[in-house]
Amino acid sequence: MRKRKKKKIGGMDIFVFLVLTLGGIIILFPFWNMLVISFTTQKEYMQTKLLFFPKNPVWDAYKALLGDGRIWIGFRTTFLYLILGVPLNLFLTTCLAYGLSRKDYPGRKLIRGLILFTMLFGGGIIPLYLVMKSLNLTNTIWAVILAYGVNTFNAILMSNFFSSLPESLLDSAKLDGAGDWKMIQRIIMPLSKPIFATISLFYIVDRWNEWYNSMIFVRKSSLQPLQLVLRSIVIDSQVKAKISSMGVVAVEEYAFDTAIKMAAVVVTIIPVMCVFPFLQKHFVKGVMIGAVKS
Amino acid sequence: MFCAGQKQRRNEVKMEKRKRIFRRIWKNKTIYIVLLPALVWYLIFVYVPMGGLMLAFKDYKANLGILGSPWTGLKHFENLFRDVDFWQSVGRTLKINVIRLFVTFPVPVIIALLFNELRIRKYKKVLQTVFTFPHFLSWIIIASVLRNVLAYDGIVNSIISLCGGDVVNFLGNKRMFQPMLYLTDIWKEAGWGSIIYLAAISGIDQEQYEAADIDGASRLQKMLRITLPNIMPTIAVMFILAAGGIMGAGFDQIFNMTNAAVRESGEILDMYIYRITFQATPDFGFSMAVSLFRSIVNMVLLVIADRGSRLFGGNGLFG
Amino acid sequence: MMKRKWMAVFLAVVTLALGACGAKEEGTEGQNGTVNNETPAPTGDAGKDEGEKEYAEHLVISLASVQVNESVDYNNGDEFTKWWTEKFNFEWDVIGLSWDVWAERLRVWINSEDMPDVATWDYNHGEAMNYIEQGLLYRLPDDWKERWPNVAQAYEDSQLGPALEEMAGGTYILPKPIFSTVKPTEKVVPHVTVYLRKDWAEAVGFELKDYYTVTELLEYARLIKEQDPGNVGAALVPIAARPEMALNIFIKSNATYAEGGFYKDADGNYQWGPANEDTLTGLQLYQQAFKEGLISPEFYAYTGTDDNAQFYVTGVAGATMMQGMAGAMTQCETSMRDNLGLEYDAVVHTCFIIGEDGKYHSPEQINYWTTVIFSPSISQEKFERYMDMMDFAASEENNVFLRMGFEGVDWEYDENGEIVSLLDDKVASEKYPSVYPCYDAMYILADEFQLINPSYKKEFRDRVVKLYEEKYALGDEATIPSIDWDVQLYSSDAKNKLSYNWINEYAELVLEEGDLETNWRNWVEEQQYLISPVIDELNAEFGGN
Repeated sequence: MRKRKKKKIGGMDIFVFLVLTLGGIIILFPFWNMLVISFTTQKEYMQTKLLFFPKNPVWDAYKALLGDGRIWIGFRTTFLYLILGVPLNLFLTTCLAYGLSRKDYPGRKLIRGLILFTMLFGGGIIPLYLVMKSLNLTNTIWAVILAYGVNTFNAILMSNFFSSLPESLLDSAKLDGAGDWKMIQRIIMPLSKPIFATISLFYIVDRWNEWYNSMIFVRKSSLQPLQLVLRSIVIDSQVKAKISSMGVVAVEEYAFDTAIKMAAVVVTIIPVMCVFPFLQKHFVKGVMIGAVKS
Repeated sequence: MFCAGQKQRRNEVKMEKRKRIFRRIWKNKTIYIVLLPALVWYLIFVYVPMGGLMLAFKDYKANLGILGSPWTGLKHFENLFRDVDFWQSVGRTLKINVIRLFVTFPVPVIIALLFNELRIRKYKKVLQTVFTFPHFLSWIIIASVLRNVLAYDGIVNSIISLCGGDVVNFLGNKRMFQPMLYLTDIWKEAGWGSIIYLAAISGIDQEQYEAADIDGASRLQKMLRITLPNIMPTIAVMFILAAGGIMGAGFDQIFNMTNAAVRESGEILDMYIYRITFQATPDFGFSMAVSLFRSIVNMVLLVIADRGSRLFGGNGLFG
Repeated sequence: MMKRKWMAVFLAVVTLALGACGAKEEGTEGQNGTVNNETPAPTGDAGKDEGEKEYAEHLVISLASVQVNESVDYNNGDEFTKWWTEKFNFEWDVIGLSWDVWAERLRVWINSEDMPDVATWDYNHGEAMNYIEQGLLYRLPDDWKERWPNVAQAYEDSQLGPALEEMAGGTYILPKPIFSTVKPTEKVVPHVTVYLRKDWAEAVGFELKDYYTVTELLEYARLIKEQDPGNVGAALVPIAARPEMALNIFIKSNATYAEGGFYKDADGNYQWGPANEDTLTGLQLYQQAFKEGLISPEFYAYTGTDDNAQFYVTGVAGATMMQGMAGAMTQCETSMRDNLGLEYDAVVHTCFIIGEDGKYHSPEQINYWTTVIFSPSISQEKFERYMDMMDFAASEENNVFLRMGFEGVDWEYDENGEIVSLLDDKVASEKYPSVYPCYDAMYILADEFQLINPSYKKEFRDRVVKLYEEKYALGDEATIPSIDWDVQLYSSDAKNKLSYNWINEYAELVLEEGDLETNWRNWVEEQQYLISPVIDELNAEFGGN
């Protein structure tokens, strides 16, 4: 086995290596650009279009950003969304996906149709707000957590994965007298690690990027999620510029915000970059096993 | 007598049927119990608010509530269909997003296949991470970086003029705008999109590869004959879903990348909706009518894609 | 084992995070209790001569507004807000509305009958009429003007307030006046101002005046482009103007009604501004500037205030247009000193642009910016308390307190009776972050105070007033037309449907290939299906002389 793995490097290897490396460079360049801008002064930024390295790096943007305090509120709230929201997402999605993947039970078609319908149609924000209001959930993080329970798209992916599990396994389990519960526990769960890892990642990212529901349902400034904070840092200056140009009312001044903007982005994607490889491990593991085996 | 007997028998058959269904339900009770939490969630947070769809045929009056608001029939749709801009934006949305679908859709699949062939383990892990990063950047940021790179005095034009070419107007050229949309979309989302295929690849039964090895298949052959067919169902589902989302794709991207010079070539339906809701007096009924229209078009597209994929031997959306 | 450990860590983290939230709220409440026992904050003239009212009941007032900084503690953060919350025995629940989602958030809340007690609302006429009709806004008691006379007086200055009141048969909306105690001109005109490089103009022999026609400004730009007196080189931008500002400089300076205005012609028939020939004149000048390279070749790709920064940060622009208040001039001065080592007085000349006819063009601006609205379910106590606060803030003698802080601590009168700031190099809002937006923009906006605020240089303030006066003197009823309330307050399906982004519409026309005049005529023609119904309605309703 091991001998086989150490095959010589073929044309395929070189091609794959080059293409992916080039892709990596193209992807990394803007990130580098962003990082550099976050350390430059406005003057240097405007004078040099292409910054590879700041001449005299300054920390001003980070000082302004972290001293602002809002960003910490954002981190805390988003963290809450993650630890409370993602488990709920996974629970509900698994429930639905399992149900959708099973065949032959009365009502399956109806449920399938109703779920699919929600992918396309929605009633808009006001009715949802009225529901939240009547449940007394507005202005709590629960409104945001509950407003996003199942992403139908993810549920479909998961149910497809479940139904692609070899029937023979399930059948033999059935013959052994295992009920649905046991089947879920003993067979489906252990086999579904890659899809759980993937779907968790999707939900984590969605929760991480969530801002619209918070914007509508939550008013307390101490409960603003990261993305909303980021938005108010990044977008506000642009809108302010527009209002000031109307020329009737004077709007307060704006500092050099491009650096702060970039610093805000750097600060908000660093945690994702740190967490991501750990999750990735799970579904990459599957690929690795494949590589070792062949 | 005869009649009564028949009736009785019919009743018996009915009862029998009912019993059978009940028995089947009872037999599958675990499935329903498992489904219940998800269905309750859908009922409360999706289906109750779904009542808002009625607003497309109403004049919303908050004081009367959604149910109490007066019906207006098809007024909103009549106004909508009379608007030239609306039809233009629908056409443009279809054009941009259909091309987008065909240009961008295969890229994640290819990336996943390539990654599967990369054999330097550590490097592969690092690159995979790198490829997914752009997904986390918002379009506002990407647009501002792009402006730096593609301006008259940006790096791309610097290189072009170094090589003796003429400076290209990337930002203000109507013909460049749509291709730029596709390219930046690939840059941002292709790596992320490949995750799902990598997960699918990881689920492939290894015995197939071992059998192919014995037959002496080359790597390219294995890729095309084993890996690709095995992830075909995933590809089909992703394609159907992407096709179903055609009318709604690309707002954030276009909103941030557009400027006065290219605005017209980027006014898709969602930009139109944004314009009518944020620049004029908002009208919930009218907005709902537009989104209802969009949903219906999406539904038609989804059904077509689903049928299409069945036609080509795929499983369709639900196997 | 492993699993249980993780679970324990997870639970611990959840508890901590949840605890942190809860703790913070308790903390604030606790602190509130102590505030009341503290010795009163330093008070200047402001509070003393007020007929002291006792507020027995402690209230929590929710206020939704833009300009909020979520990290500021609006209840205990600084002495200024402590003084207020104590005097009026209340605490804030401040809800920050980001600029870009401002309208949307309020719209959802109002339409769900769940709005905060008080909100800063960007008035939109069609929406306003809708809300009033449905009872979604609080109707002020009929005697409110007698009970809160200071607010009532400023309300009269807002122009819009009384007009709406007449139409709706009651007061629902309190527009915030821009100018009330101090008014630079009889009719309000925009303050946007062109900033020129004085040193460059002198070097190329361009005469310095307080106002130029567009043709003259283009002449200046050409001279700068040819001679490059600042030795800037390839990066030189003779006039740095993003599309918004280009619209101001080239089109609005010539065409009074360029931004979609409807106006009555000599025969009493309504006309639409963008279809007027003077709009074409403006467009032609705009395009000329673009084609000659006198504005940036990529002017449409500017973001934010990049164009202004080219003037005061990188120093590559010969002219730019930006806010014309003392605050903006101060910002320009500081930035030029820090980034370019240039002294404002030596290198900057401020001026404005007039039409080719030698007149200043701009329709009269309604003297308000955003409005105060109350929730229809606000309690009587809260409403009265807030009105008391607004009345206190709107009184002339408290104006200085509101803008500059406590007398004797933050400012004082010198022997000539002039206000002197005691905060070196700071404005009150830096010392007291809670000023924005709760107090500063409570009713009368801070603009007027920029005209007299001693924190800004006297030369700047005088210049602002002078430019205002000159603009006004150079116009007449035709070029600075009074507000046509008929059109302003007219609302119909056809009119509410109009939605133009003038900045983009005109920039697109300028950039479009082919003959500008033909393109413009075609464009006007294309718009007729939207415009002519409105014109017909207006003529039927208010036409004739």
